[in-house]
Amino acid sequence: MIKNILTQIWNQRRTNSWLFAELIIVFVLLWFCVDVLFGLFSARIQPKGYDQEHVYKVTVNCRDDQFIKMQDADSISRFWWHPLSEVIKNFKQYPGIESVCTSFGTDVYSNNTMFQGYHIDGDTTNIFTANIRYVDAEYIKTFRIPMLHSIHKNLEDKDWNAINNVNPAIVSAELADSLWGTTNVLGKKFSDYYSPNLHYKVIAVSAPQKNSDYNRYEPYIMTPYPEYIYKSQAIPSIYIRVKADADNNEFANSFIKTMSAKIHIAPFYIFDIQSMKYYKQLDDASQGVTQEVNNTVLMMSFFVFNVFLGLLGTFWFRTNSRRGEIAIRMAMGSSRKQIAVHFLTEGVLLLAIAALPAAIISVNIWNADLTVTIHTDATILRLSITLLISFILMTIITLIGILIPARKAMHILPAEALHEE
Amino acid sequence: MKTIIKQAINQIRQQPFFSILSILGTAVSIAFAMLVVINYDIHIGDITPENNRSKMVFSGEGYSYMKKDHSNANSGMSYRTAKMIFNNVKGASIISYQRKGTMLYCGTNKDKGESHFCKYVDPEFWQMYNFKFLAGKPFNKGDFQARANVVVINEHIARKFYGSAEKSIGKTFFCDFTPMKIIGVVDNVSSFFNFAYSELWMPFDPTIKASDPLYGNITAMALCAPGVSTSELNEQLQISLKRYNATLNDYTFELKDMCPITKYQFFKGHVNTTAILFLIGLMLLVVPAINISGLVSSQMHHQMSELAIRRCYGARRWQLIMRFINENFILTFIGSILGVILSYLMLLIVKGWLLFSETSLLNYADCKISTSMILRPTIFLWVVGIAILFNFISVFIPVWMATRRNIISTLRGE
Repeated sequence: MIKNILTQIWNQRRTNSWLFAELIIVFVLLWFCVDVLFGLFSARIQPKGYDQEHVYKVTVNCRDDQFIKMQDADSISRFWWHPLSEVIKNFKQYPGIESVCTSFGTDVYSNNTMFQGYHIDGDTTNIFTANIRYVDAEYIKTFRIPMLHSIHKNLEDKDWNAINNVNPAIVSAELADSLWGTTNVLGKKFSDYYSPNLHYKVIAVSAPQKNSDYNRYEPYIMTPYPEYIYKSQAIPSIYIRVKADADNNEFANSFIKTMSAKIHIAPFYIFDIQSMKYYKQLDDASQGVTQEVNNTVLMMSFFVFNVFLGLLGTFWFRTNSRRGEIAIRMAMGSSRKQIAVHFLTEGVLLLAIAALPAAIISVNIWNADLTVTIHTDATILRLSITLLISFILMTIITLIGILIPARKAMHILPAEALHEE
Repeated sequence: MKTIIKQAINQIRQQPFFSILSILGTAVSIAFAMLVVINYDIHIGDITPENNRSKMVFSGEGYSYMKKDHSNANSGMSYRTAKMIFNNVKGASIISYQRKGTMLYCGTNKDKGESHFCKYVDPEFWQMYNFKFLAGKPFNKGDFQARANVVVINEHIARKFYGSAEKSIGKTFFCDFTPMKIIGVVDNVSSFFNFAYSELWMPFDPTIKASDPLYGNITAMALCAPGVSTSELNEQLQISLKRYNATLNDYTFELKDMCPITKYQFFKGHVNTTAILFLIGLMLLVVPAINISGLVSSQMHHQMSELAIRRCYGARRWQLIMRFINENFILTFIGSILGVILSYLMLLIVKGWLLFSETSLLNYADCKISTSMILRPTIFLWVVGIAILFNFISVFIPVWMATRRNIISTLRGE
């Protein structure tokens, strides 16, 4: 049958040429769109190195009318950090809260970043920069950061104390690998490049970390707050983890209402609470990912619709002009189903032939580095998967496009059709 | 007119399937082309209130670091740095600085507030953009220098808290617990205008100290003086930036994203947007054009013998071609009208999705598309004109190829 159809395709090359050209062009365009989406998708499904499900960020602000600028470390501690810790303590007592933590520096889902350079003791020529995140001990629990290696299975508060002026540090797999070439580095020591008196000791190595869904992995370091933060009037990012059964759509609203009514600790007030999902959306929007996805999907639907229309039209006219042929096939014993299968096979074969040059063009585009590689590398695996997805997509459209004329052909009455001429 | 309609109805009746397919194909391709162009235009067109976009250069975010080892890297630009670079540039007629907007706790008294979006701007902001004041006026240089507690609000807030624009003038509005006097109410701004959009506008603190760092959260916008192009102004600003860097001892200051605003709107000016959009536009036209060519050539297949006989009886080739083009012109015409209607319908439905931006996520983001934003006759004519041209070509080629064939072989049925 296939040989027979191939001959037919060859004989109809004149009418097939337009369809053929369209299939090639749309295949390449569709592949490009699929590749863009695939790049985003594969970055998205990579583990981020933390779990933000049921985590909310609470924004606590300072009231402008109660703000007093302070210089003295003692008064800052008494009139700023003490009341702030009272506010945070109150959060912990709210029903359904699992843990509360605070952090400074590179924030999750935000382009608010902070970097520092690090080196192994004694080697100040090889400096590696890392995103720095100053955190309290609760942070690890709140964000459920998976550890590759750790001195204890669950880190405790006392692990978070500096010993003999050496600060504990959690390094991400990337940073561990840059500094020592391996991730099994518990107990190893390293130092800050810009502040030579700052020394660290690795107490845990975390899974690779990234700041947002579509970014690549970056080196990270998590350490306790440095002294200078306590000498300034700053407000850290505050995150709360809600127990899964207590988390619902109403949580944020009722939290802020109850807490605002309850907490009157000058100079602070609770300004906002938003789920991490919201910050993800905001981050996607500011990175332009949302627009990228939307526009690509829109383009794809346009191309798909056109191919559908083209196949539908061409095969519709084809069933019309081949009524005689169909009738003879039926007269010779073909079932109606076989007729439909014949047409569908013809379409798929045409697509398969068109896919060959289309794939060659795609490979060349890929080879020339014209694909979008901001989020994920252009590997051969990615190329093959996206080509396969495009082919499957095109096959589905081809089948849908031909199904309508094929059904029409199925219902041709052989006697009538043969009688026509 | 009557004959044209009659002809159209006749044709659709004779070849309903072909006509519908052809109309649908044209309509969808025009609708999509319109969407792309409208999207492009909303981002870069001179549309009120951002009606100077084609004459603006935007600073983008700054970045500074220590020369010797790239340490102390910070993003952002301080007011002091911005003024050093942007002030006294010859090619600029207006320079406006604004501080990054934030959500603010505000309301009619201290105890009851809501969060609203606030932008911190200078008095030049009101000259740079064309706001429609419903009541009151913008703040002036005096207010700005005196650090007056004044605020301009949008109509939405005025109506919500005070009932109307007029009633809110002179009232005290608490923003972040500080009493502010409302001096102006402007018409709501659609959140598609990234630079003008806000709910509240306040003067920022203009104090400059020699100890100010390079980094901060200021962006600057410069408007070309008459006769100066945006690329010339951009060039002058780059020179000014270089001169400023020469005065810095330990640091380097960069403005990597500085470019004319029309370029900044897509990919922050790092990619040749016009080329990409041209390519996309071409794809949007070429694919349906091939489609229609394929359809026409399939349909011609049936009429080959008719054509051959007509030619036998003395019809000229161009007469046959004209007949087909005439017939198709009607279909194209119907398709274009449907396409334009379809594009506006689609825009209404998917506007939030298609024109999605950061500002769309703000609490009271107003995603209104006013008619002035989309009903721009030049754009409309361009799109329809080009689409019809492509349609014409896509009909012409297969017809021309078909009529070129040998009559005898056609009649023989070869």
